[in-house]
Amino acid sequence: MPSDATALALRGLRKRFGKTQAVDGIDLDIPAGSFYGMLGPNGAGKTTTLSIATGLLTPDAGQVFVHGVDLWQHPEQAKPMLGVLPDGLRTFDRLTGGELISYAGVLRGLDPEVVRSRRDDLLAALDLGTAAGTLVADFSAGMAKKVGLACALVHAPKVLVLDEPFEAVDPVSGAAIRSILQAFVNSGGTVVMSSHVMALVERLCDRVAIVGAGRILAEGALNDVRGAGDLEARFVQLVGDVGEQRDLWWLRQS
Amino acid sequence: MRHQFRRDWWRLLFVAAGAIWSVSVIPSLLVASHVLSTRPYDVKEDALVAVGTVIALAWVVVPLLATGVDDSLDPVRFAPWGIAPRRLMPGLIVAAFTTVPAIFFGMLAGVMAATWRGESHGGWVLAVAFVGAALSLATWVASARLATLWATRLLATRASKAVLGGLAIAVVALIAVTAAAVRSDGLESFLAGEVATALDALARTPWAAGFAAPSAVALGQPWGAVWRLVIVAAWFLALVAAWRSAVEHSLVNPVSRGGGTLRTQDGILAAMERKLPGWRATATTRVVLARSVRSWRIDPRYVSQVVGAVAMPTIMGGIAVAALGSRGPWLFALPIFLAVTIGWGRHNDLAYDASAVWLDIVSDVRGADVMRGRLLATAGWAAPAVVTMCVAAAALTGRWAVLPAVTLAALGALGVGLGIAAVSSVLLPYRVPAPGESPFGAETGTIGASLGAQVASSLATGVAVPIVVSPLLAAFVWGGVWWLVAAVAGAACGVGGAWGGTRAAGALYERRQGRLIGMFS
Repeated sequence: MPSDATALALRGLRKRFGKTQAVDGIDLDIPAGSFYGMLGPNGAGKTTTLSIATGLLTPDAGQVFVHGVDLWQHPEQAKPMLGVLPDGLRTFDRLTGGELISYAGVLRGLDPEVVRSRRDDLLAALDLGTAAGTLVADFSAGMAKKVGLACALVHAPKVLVLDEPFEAVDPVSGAAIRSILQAFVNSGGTVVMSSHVMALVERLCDRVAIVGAGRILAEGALNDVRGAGDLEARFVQLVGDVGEQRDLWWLRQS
Repeated sequence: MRHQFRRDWWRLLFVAAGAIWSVSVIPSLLVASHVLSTRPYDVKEDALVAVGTVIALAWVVVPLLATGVDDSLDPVRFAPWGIAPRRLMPGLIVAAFTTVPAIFFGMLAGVMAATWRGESHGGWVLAVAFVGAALSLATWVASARLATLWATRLLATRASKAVLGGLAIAVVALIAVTAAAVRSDGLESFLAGEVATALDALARTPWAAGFAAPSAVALGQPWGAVWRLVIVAAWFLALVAAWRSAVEHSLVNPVSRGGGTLRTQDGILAAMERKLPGWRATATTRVVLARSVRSWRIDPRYVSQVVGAVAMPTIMGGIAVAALGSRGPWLFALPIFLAVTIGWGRHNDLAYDASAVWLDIVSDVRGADVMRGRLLATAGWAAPAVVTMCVAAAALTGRWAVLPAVTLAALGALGVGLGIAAVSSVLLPYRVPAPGESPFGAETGTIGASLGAQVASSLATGVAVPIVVSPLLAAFVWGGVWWLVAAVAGAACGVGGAWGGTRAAGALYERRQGRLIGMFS
């Protein structure tokens, strides 16, 4: 069993969808206090891995430990330590932004007064003030992402698992989110995030894993993984370049 | 459609089963047509006009009230491709006319037209009959498509509740007037008077003129047939024009998702702070209840289900009252029927709430608490609807003494039905239109799953509900202490069914958490 110093430990995770082996034996130790980036091409198995790691998807095999607690054996102990922002799942959209944060806070067992105070803090910090009274159904993609992040943060978890947290978020809000997450890590929290944006990962993360075809292709401290070059070059080297660089001559305008 | 069949063999099976059933009823329709063909021309005309009108009405009403049966192409799916309506319409029209219902009713219209065989001017009469039937079929199909598109738009607006309320009042008023006329004049007099007058008028409208046109030819009035066919054809063209306009609108105006609503009060925290005597629900149940009540109030998918669940038994009851009178004890079956309909209708409840499931899972909430909140939200409108129908039945029959037992038995059936539905919705969920999509559509690829879930929940309801209501039946037959037994059994079964159902569903919900999300997406 992993020690408490390991925020998130994945052991032998496997998941198959029909003929596709989405996750093919992933083992990973994410140290507490790290800002961890999970990189991979489309269809590499990142979202499936993070879904299993947060209890949203049952694995065919393997175990998940959150600070040493088996997630699937003791969810009542493990899940309160996790804050989750999934990607590609619809959020209940008939509540206002403020109500959705309150709802997440109450589900996490917080008292109404605590919920009210944290809701207002999160709305202000994420620049969602005007969205507080608007139904989530009327949110833009970026606003929906931000309110989802607020729901993940409201109970002050130890580990944040964020699937594409900066997708569709404007630069100003992106800076605010980066600041919140950095402060969280500096205070001892752990952030695990997936992203396709190499520059962002290089800027934020101290450790990374590159996933391809459901396996870990490289993992470790950022500098060790990228080596002498940049992360993008290393990524392309590991997952392979586009199969055929065909010339789309018919796209040329002149 | 070919691609759908290749991907979903269940769908092909369902279509084949529908086709076999349709073919199997053709012999009985042919016999009815043969019997009618031997009657005088005026009897034929009245019968065909009446049947044609009912079918025309059904093509508008059924897709709206029985949500999820409209498996035609939703034009909104083509919005991202920027296809002009002019190019899209031929495909939509072909698709609309090649569904199982359209083919079946096409055959039915043909059988109805063949009823005119044997009249004088036989060849002309039959030719006009078949043209009239074909035009009528075209108007049925086009009106169904237009109705669902318009209803989708309406349900997304704030005016929807006012319009639905107005329609409900109009339907109830029509039923009340009909029932009063039948009661005062008797059924035979009503049929010979009001109904005959109405049929005469309907024969001059686009809804039934196609079936009255052959009668004019048989009478030697060819122009009478021509103008009737012309108004049906004009009506079809008008419907297609309106359909195209609605398609054009839906392509560039996706259904308004939230209507720009602004709310100043936090309804979730208000639900947490609400103090009611004896109300000891957990925090999770409270907030799930508040959230679900919001769905029932403003989500078009839910609003359309409330309308369908209440309207179907009300309309059927109204028709039965008009035909059979309003004094019989059978009227007390209506609230039971309503309760069973509502309970059974929630058999896929969880799929409609799928967007809330991931937050439940990551928060590790107790499943039973979630299920109770969801069930209470349904009971919040369903129980008053059932009680209202019990009171209406008591008022119509004048048997106020039986009201407590009937009400408790009906609420018992509701509780048991909702309990079964809670379990079914976790055990056998199938995909439904997502929030913001047309509430009337059926999700592609779910026909087999929905059939399985519906059969299973029907069997469970069919076994459980008789246990709840049989003491009530005994009370109507033998009276005495059975009234007390019926009341106690209703209350006990209702509470027990709802509590047990949510408990079992909650345990299943927790056990299946890691698989549920994949079943909805």
